Formats: sequence, structure tokens, C-alpha cells
Amino acid sequence: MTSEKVQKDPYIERIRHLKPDELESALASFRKLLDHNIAAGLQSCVNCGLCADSCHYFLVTGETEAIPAYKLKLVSSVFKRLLTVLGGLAKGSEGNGALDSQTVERWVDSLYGRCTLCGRCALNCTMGINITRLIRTARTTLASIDLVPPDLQSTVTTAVEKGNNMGIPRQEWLDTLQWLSEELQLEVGDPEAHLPVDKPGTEILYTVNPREPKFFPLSLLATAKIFYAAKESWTVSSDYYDVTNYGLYSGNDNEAGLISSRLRDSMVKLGAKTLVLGECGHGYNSNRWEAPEWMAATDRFKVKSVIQIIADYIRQRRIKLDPSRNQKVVTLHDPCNLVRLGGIIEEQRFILKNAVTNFVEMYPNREKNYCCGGGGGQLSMTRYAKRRLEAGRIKADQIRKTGAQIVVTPCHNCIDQLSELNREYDLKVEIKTVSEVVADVLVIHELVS
Amino acid sequence: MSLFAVLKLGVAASVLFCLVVLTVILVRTFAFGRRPTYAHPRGGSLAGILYAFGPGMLPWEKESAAKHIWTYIGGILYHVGILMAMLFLATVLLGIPLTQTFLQPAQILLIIGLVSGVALLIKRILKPQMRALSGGDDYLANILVDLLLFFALAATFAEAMLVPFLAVAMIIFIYVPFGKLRHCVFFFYSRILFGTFFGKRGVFPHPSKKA
Repeated sequence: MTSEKVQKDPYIERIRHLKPDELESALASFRKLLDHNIAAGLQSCVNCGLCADSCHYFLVTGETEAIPAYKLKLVSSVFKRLLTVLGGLAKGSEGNGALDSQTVERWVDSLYGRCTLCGRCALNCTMGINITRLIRTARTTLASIDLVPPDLQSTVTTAVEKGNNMGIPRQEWLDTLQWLSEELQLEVGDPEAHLPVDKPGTEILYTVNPREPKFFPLSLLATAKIFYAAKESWTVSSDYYDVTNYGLYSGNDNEAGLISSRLRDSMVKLGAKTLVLGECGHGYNSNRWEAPEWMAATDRFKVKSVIQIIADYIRQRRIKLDPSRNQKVVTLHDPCNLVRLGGIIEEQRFILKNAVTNFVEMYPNREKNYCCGGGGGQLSMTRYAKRRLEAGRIKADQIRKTGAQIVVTPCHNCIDQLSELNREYDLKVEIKTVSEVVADVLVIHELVS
Repeated sequence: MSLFAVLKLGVAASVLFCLVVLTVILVRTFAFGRRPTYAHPRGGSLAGILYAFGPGMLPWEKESAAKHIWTYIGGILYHVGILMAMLFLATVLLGIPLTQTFLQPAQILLIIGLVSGVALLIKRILKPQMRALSGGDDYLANILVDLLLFFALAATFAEAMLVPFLAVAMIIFIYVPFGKLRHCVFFFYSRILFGTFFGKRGVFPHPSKKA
């Protein structure tokens, strides 16, 4: 009896005991979220099943619940029952379209638990349905009645309450910047070199994944070194510097909008010209593409990925690289949110071709690349960690086939997942950001002299 | 009035019904409204739409097509056969006499289309993942269209077969708006949205292939 109690998951128990008014409220939210774009998508699937092989979850497990068309059906059946004449008559494996506890449990299991919102299914859909957007709409519906998986929600809540998703206190951030400045001075041999904080009127306001100051400060140092070499006018904000936005994954548009609006506030406060997003796939998608929609406002400044900035430095010869310093076999993992959903496709290749001597592509690549499995909030949803690592097998196989010694990816979430895959599948590779690879081969002294 | 004449009228009425209901569905879909977009585009929506209906449909651009090349080819041939059957139906309804130069290629396309349709149905029945995904509508739509192709083919050989051909056509046009066959409209709708989304974000046309 006791062990039974211990095993009960309060989150799942809540779903199983949802009250009718909560379900009504969810349905009302769902209805409110519909626009013609979503409504068309929900009426377009022909069940051809060709999307199945595009999903890394399905490829690994072969489970029906992982097929994108099934996930879509979970949502479209509710739409059809709600809004079409014959919608309620059909009853399939996805239920009869009533938004009841069972349906909600299926939604949570498939739409949070078996999806990284990577967009690969949308790309491969015969009809061209943006399945990713429809799944996120369902997540938003669940978020409206506080049914975001608690571990994912806690990441969002931390960002909302503390200003960054790791809850780093302001003083700790400033201390980290201080010692990184000292490190930078030692590295470049210039006592004036530093990481500027709250400097008004710069060209660039740089934002980072809080994992950098917390766990990978050398990654931030690498970017600072590049900015130094390029003689860039840049700064970071002492308050809001977090490029991540797990609201994209939780589905809560209000929280997502609030998190992204803070970066805009920093831009206004400091008067910078370009908001530069650090190496974070979903941070780019959130802040470049989704934030203006969440906030219903067009940005009055440029929003760019640091990858675009570094590529420009190379093109404009503002930095000099010596690729002979890196003769290892290097491959590139394309983060879904930056590449397939973000449109930054060639810049990272251009950089690597200038920074290493032996660059090899993994296949498939670019917008067709497989998700590593770390997106969609999966890294914070420990309840699905086993599935996440299993689904990552596709990526591990891709990496192994390249024979690479270094895997580069412009995304800290991907780095976390790839690091776990490295251990799980014994890949024996180094995993680095683009900035780290570039910083290693920067010819600083020639430029300084 | 002969049975043939009644059926012709019936088909005409069902086509009208189909068009009216599809229009209502489209109007209702549009009525959900269009959200304004605020993010600065990185690429062009029109270029994306052209990609979606052009290169974006080709197997070397789309992995799902490349991996399932026979299903992809079967699907295309099936739709070519359906177009042929519709063309044949139009000639029957309008009383246009058919020459051998039209009939022979039409028969070949109808046979290929029918074989493809039946093959896709068999695949749906045999593959566990397809069975799990499928509902009654998936089977019914396929069977109805296969029957249309079969009777169209039969009618090109024997005039008596025009009666079942017209009857099936009538049923199909009444059924189209209520099941997956409505993709005859939503295919274009969805692919326009696909092209707009990925075009605006600069994903398609692929940056390396832009002039």
C-alpha cells in the first residue's frame, strides 16, 4: 500500500482527476488559439504515414504514439469534434475527440513526452502541415490549465522569477564576468581587455545561455575573445542576459513573451543597435521569430545569431583564423531551432571551413538533419529522460558514421544532449560550440601588433 | 427520363453540392482569422510557396518521398488516374464523343491509377503502423476512388458501365467534403502555408541554392 502511494505521480494523478470546469476551460483556450493557419492544418492530414520515418522517436521505438500523424490526430480529433459536422462520429486509436482526462493524458504522453518540436515531420509531410505548430498549440492548451510537466514548468518559473533559467544571482553573474575578464587579459596579453557590462550605446548587446556562466564559462570566454579580436563594440546586461526561453517548449505564451520582452528592455535601456543571441538554437527561434508574435510588436533593432556575426567577421577580415591549428576531424550538428526552424543554415559551415582543416558533414544535414533529442524541453523533463536517450541513438549513429573527433554545434542545449549521448553510446568525441572552435584558432597577436 | 439522364443530373447536382460545402468549409476555416505577423522576414513568402509546389515536392528534396519512393510514385500515378477519370466524367456529362486517340492513353492511365490505388490500399491494410493510423474514412475514401477508376475504365469498353460509373461519381462528390478527400482543396492550402512559413524564415528556397 505504501509503495503504491510512493509510486503515484501527482502530475498524472491530477490529469486523471481533472474537473469538468478545468476541461471546459482547456477547450475554451484551445478554441481561442485557433486561427485559419491552425484550422487548415488540423483538417489536412491524409494519414499517408510518410511522416513516421522523419521522427527520431518513431525510428527508435516503432511505436504508433510516436508517429507525427498520430500526434496530429490527437489534436485534430478534438478540433473536428468541436467544430465540424461529422467530427464526433469517428473513433480511432486517438479517442473520439472529446477533451477528457484520457485525451489529456494521451496529449501529455505524446505531445510533451515524445516530441522535441524539431519540425522534421513538418518538412516531410506530404501535405506540408506544420505539425510542430499544431503540437505547440496543444501544449499551449495544456499550459492554460497548468498542465505543463512540473519539471519543465519549474525551468520556466525560475526564468520568470529570477531573470534566468538557472536562477543565477546577479552578483554571481558579475563575479563570473570579472574573473572571465581577468582570464581574457591573460589569454590575449592585454590588460585593457574585458567583458563589458551595461555599457551604453554599443553595437551589440550579447546574450548567453545561463549554462555558460554556470557550467561552461570558457565558452563565454571564447566569444569574448572573438569580440576582442574583432574590436567589437559590445556589452552584456547585468540584469537580463538569458537567451533561452523554455516558454517556447512549455507552450505558455504569456511567460514566453515576458521572458523575451526582458531582453528587449535591456536593449532599450542600454541603447544597443543589435541584439545578438548566443549559441542557443531555441533561444534563436524564440527571440528572432516567436518573440515578436508573442509580444505583438515588431523589433526596432536587428536580432541576429552570434553565428551570423562571426561569419561576417571572417568575410570582412575582422578576425584572422589559422585552421592548421585544428587538424582533427570535425563534424557539425545542426540545431533544429536554429537551422530548420530558424534559417541559419550556411553560416556555421562557412565558419568551420575557415577554422578547421578537416570538416566533414554528417548525413542528413542542414535543414534535413535529425534532432539530437534535447529540444522540446526534453532536457528538463526528467520523467522522459530514458526515452530521450533512446531517441538520441539516431544522432549517435550519425556522428559515429562521420568518424569525427570533434562534434561542433551552435547550441548549448544540443551540447548537453550530445554530451549525454557521448557517454551513453561511447562515441569518444569532443563536443564544442562554434565560438570555442573559432577562439582556439584565432590569430590574436598578429592582429594586436 | 432515362436512368442515364437521371444519373447525369445527379452527378451535376452532387458536384454542385460538393463545391458549395467545400466553399463553406473554406470560409469557416478563413473565419478563424489571420494573426498579424511581426517578425522581420529573412526570406520571401512567394519564393517559399513556389518552392513548396515545385522542387519541394521532389524526392531528392523530401526524405519521406525518397525513403518511400514506390509509395510516392504510386501516389502520383493514383492522382494522375483520378484526374483522367474526372476528365472522362466531364466528357460524359458534356456529351463529348471520344476518339480512339483519347481513349487508349486514358485506359492506360486509368489502369495504372487503379493498380496504384489498390496497392496503396493493400499497404494500408498490411503495414501495422498504417493500420494503427487508419480510420474508416481512410479505407472508404480509397475504395470509393478505386471503384471510380474501375468503372471509368470499364465504361471505356462497355457503355453499360456508365451507370455504375456515374453512381459512384455521385457518391464521391457527396462524400468529398466530409472526409479526407477534402484534401483536393486543403493540399493547396497547406502547401501555401508551408511555403509561406519556411520561405519567410529563409529556410526555403535553400540559401545555398539561391541565385
